[in-house]
Amino acid sequence: MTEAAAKRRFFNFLKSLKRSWRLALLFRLCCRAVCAAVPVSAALYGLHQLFQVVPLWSTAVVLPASLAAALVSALILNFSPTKGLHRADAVFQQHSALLTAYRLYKSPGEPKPVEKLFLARVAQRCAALDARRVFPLKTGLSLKLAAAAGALSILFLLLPMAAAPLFSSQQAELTGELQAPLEELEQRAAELADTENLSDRELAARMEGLVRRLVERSITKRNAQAEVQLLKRDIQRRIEGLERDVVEDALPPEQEQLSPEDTELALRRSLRPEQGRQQPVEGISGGGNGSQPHSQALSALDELADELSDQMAPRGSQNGSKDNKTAEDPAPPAPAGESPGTAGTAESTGNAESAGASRDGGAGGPPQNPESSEAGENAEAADSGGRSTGTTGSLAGETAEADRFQDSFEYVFEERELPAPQSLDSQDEEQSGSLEPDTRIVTRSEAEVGSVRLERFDVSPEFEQSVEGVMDRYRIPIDEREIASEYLYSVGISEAEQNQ
Amino acid sequence: MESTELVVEQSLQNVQAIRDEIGKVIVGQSQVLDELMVCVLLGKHALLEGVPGVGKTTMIKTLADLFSLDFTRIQCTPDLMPADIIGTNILVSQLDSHKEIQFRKGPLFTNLLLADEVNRATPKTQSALLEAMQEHQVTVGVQTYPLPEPFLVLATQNPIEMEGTYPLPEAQLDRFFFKIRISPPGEAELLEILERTTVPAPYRAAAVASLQSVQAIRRLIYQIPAADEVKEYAVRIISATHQTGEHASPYIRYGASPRGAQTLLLAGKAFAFAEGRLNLGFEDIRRAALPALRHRLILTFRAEAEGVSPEALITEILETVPELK
Repeated sequence: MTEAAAKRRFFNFLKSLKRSWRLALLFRLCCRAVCAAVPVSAALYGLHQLFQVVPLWSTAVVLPASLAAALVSALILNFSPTKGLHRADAVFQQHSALLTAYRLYKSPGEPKPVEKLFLARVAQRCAALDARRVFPLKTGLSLKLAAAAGALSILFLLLPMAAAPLFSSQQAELTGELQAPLEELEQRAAELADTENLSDRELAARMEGLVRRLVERSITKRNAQAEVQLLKRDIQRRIEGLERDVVEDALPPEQEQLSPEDTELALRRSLRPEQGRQQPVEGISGGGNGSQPHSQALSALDELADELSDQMAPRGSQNGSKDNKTAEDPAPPAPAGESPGTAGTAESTGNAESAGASRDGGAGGPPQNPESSEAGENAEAADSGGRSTGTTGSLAGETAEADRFQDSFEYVFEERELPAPQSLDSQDEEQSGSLEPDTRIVTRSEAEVGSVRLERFDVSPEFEQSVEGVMDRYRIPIDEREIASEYLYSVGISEAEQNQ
Repeated sequence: MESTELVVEQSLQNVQAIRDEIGKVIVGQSQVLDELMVCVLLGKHALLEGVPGVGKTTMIKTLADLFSLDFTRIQCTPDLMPADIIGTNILVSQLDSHKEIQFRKGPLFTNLLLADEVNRATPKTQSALLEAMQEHQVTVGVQTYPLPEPFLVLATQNPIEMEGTYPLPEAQLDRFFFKIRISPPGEAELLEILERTTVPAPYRAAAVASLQSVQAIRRLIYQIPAADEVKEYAVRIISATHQTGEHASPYIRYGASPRGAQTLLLAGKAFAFAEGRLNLGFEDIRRAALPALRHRLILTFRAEAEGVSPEALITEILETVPELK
């Protein structure tokens, strides 16, 4: 064999060695990719089935991604002749002959006689060597891997089925019992989101977020319940704000001149705060005369809170009626300003002192929330003003709106002897930094005591004269005329007559 | 290339003939015999260590018979003086009653010297042997006398009865190409030894290889190609015996010298050729590592205290050092 033939034969073997290496590498990488991706996909599918924490599309992405990675790896990896020939030497027990021959071919210079003889012998041996034996496809190992991967995949697929009973109760609760209130709440949130008011849209976003987290089970029931209470409180505040806006906006630019009888009737009604606008919050929350979407949202939140309370209760306590509250149920939040005092009848004494008397009854119980606490403080302030000697009694079911309405009167009584009333504009500026709506109401009443009242309500001189006439006719004492006129200005003579 | 092929074939036949013939005298110990044969083929010195009666002297005498080499034996004792092995100047009376000083050659002037129990000789005598081993010459006074070629010293020492001995200094140990350990024969081998040696005329090996054939084999061994990777492997093994090496061991105080690396490569080539291969492989390096390095490692006190042998350390190095970097 000539030297050139020996060299050609050796490098042909090297080429076949490289081919078999790349094929084996591709096969091995793809096998491992499949064997790894299939169980991972199964595990992801199981997670999706059990907890819905993994999107379903991820199960279909893993296998192609793994195969693509394997293909790219097989393509970018380079064949090392040294390592390949070293491996071939070991496989064929050539005692480093192939590696030595490669180095001899690569080294410059004419080979020595012994080296030539050696290269010729190596070339002869190369003809008998099968490069595929050096880098076999290892199908046996691949089959074992595939079997292991298949078993693992079946396990991952069966595991959710086995574990389903553990999670089925929660699933049923979510789909069966919680779903209806959630859908209702979602609908209300959508209605609120349609409005242009930022506060409403913010409330809607919060409601939708709560629904989403409950569906995804990314929130505990206790936290959900706390959030429901927060939402309810904020919606109630929003309703109150809307109510005030309605009252203010409803004032006609020019009040009709009432007859003296109408004015008297209105005045009398104004001095009986338990009637008329006494139930604004309850009426609103019940879908009454408040904002309709807000009220419905409040109702949906109530239902959701009830369901959550039921589900948080121990199993034994749920055997009875679902409406039964358990000891673990959080106390239902008191409506803003509601004072759980002793039930009783508030009797109007026919003068403004009944307001203080009502407060005595209203402040009998401990405040249940910040707003009721604030109302209690206001009541105490009124008592300290020396007007707490009115008829005793309690006013059951007093609402926050009623409290505030009365507070405004009490504050006026207390502060009426102030030397110089403040202007409304300056008062608003002072209150601009405060976020407490109740404080704003009180101070607004205080502002309205001054001469700016006419500007505030924009009444005509004729209306003012008719108001004075009504008060003269009903012999309103001088010191109480201001509050009486205040009421007439705020609600109008005709409404006062209706209230009467 | 055809002539080279013929030479190679003839040399390989000679090696096989040597193996066959030595196997007729020595029972078993194939590894020891291969190592001894490598030393003879390369003309290198060897130190044989073994308990008394395991056939050390018989092996060396058989090698001398195989290669038709001059053979001399000296029994080293504490009172052995350098002049006793090198030779001395004596006053010789001529026929004409004229007297002159002549140098009488000592037992060193031979092809194959058996220095039995070399560790019982004094350091002075051992040093005299040192120059002969390294330079293949001796100096008496101002006169230097070359030693015959080939010159091989096959020394033996007893690993027991260390009292009254003078352990060989490291410099002299490094001159030995191999340190060959001879283990006692097994039962079957012992039985065969009894069969062969308890007869009136034990078999004596015939000369199957000439001095020229040994030199031809030696030339071929030196020409055997080695891949760079294999050489680097030998270098990494030597580096692993050093304290600064990647695989430094706390049991080794001083590692192998560069002569150790030369020994690894040359002995590996000889082993490869003895197996009929014309290239050096990783396996040959590993095979040569134990006899080539065991006497070149100077162990720490900790190794001595814990009974760690050089063989164990070399085996560990061979297991940790990879063939390809």
